[in-house]
Amino acid sequence: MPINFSNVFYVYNPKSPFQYEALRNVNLTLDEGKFIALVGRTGSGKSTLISHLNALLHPTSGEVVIDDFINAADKRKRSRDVRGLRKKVGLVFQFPEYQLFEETVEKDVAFGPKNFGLGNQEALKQAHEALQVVGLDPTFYERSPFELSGGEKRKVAIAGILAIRPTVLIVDEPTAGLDPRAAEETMALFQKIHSEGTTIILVTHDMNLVLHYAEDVVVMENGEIALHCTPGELFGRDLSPYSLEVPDIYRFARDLQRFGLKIDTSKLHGVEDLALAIKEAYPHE
Amino acid sequence: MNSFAMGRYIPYHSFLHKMDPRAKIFCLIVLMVAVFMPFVSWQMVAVMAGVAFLLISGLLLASHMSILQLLSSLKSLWLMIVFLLIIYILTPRSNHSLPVAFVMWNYTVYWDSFAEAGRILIRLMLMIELSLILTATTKPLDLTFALEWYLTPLKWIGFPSHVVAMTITLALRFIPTILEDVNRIMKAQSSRGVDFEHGKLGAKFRAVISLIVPLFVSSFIRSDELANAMECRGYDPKAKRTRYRQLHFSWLDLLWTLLASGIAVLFIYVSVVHFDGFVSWFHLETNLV
Repeated sequence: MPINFSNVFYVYNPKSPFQYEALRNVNLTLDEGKFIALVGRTGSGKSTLISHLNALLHPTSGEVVIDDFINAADKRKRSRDVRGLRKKVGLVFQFPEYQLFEETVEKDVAFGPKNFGLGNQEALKQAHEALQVVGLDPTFYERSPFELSGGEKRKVAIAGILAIRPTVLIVDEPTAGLDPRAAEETMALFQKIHSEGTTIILVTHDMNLVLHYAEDVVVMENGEIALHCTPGELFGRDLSPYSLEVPDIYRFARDLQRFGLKIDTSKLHGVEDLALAIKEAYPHE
Repeated sequence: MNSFAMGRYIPYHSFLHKMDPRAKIFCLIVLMVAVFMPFVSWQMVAVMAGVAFLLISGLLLASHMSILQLLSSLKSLWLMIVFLLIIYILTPRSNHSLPVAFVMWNYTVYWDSFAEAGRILIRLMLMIELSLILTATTKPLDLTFALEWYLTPLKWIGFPSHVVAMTITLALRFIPTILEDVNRIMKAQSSRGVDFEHGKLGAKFRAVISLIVPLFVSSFIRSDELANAMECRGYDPKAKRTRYRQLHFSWLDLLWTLLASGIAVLFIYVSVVHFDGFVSWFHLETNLV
């Protein structure tokens, strides 16, 4: 399901003292089936951009095409089937645990599928499957979501979106506020979903995640698309104009390079790659 | 989402923005009294409503508020208008000064009923406009400072006016935050297929529940955190407090206060003296000349 932004502008509170231009002439094509990272400093327009993908916001001018859905500034051009779009594009907001409201975990997860027209039984079935995917066993089904721990709540909320079975999954800072282990589990979960063919759009500030998981990276700056390339290309550049951090592995590799070790940084994605590169580069006796 | 809600502070630099909030509250109350003065004849009602309307429109313009936005606020009043009309039409009147409008099943309806409903409507509208001017030109914090100042006399008899003012300040402070929460939760639930705008009654009810429950949860968490944060910084409701921003009552504030009082006195005078419509008013003028 290709996604295309053409000349998209978005202005918050137009014609008032609070006017704020959040998107400026965004032209962007996101390919199907990829793991895409969306990065940029706070207030660069990332959240506004992803809201357009779910027709939660309509462009002030320009248009966004998601598969066959057109989200245009012009009302007459805009597609009507918002529900269909939201079924295909799942959006997990930042701190999604704040959207839980049902008495039991399974009911909350089944809420989405039910809204999209499934019957009670079927919705519960999809809910159970989604809960299994995020790693919550059947003992959780009847518990209240409000008595769970922060990490478990987050998992329930993510399951709530997965149960809808979207073909594009957008996640906004899914690891914020999680302990390292829970964060790793969450990312492994998205990796797994991605390997089953779902397009993933990950909004994050963590460059280690970008390097490790993303195939494509989009850098936003002041409401504009500053860069759209692979993580390897991005981290090969000078990152200072975008106020992005260099991933730990890259920093380590560069330190090694300074001491004369020949390491090809463009192929690094994780600690294993680095270890392999060091082994290869190490002068044999 | 429309985050440009009614009654929100809009930063400009008009004289109304610069006015002392205590003076502004006083002027508002005094002008409201003026607007609510009863007059005997319809002509007089029309004239005085016209005067008040012009005055308030002038203030609106001065505070950079758009008249269009205000008119849209009247949209929410239409139910009230219908209700008022029904009440006034169904109330039998013995003394009527206007002709018969129509006769319905032996029940005579005079134009008085419509005029009465119209009068109430105009009063309500003017009152809403006045309070909107106050909230649009005064920062919520200044407003609570002013309220606290007005509550000072109660302090002498042991009324916890500071606590009340602090509660109001916090409530006002968190309106935008909670609106943001509403916005965020609505977006999240919309992504899960909730339709907040269309749908049957049952579906709408569920939609509202899916908004209200998370909103309550996050509000309780927020208030808990806020209370802890305040206590950590040594907040003591009984302590004597100083203020970073001092309120200054300038001679201009005095001038506006006097002017507003003057206008109110004029209205009260006209109301009490019972001018009998246009004729006597002109009569009076010729007498004066």
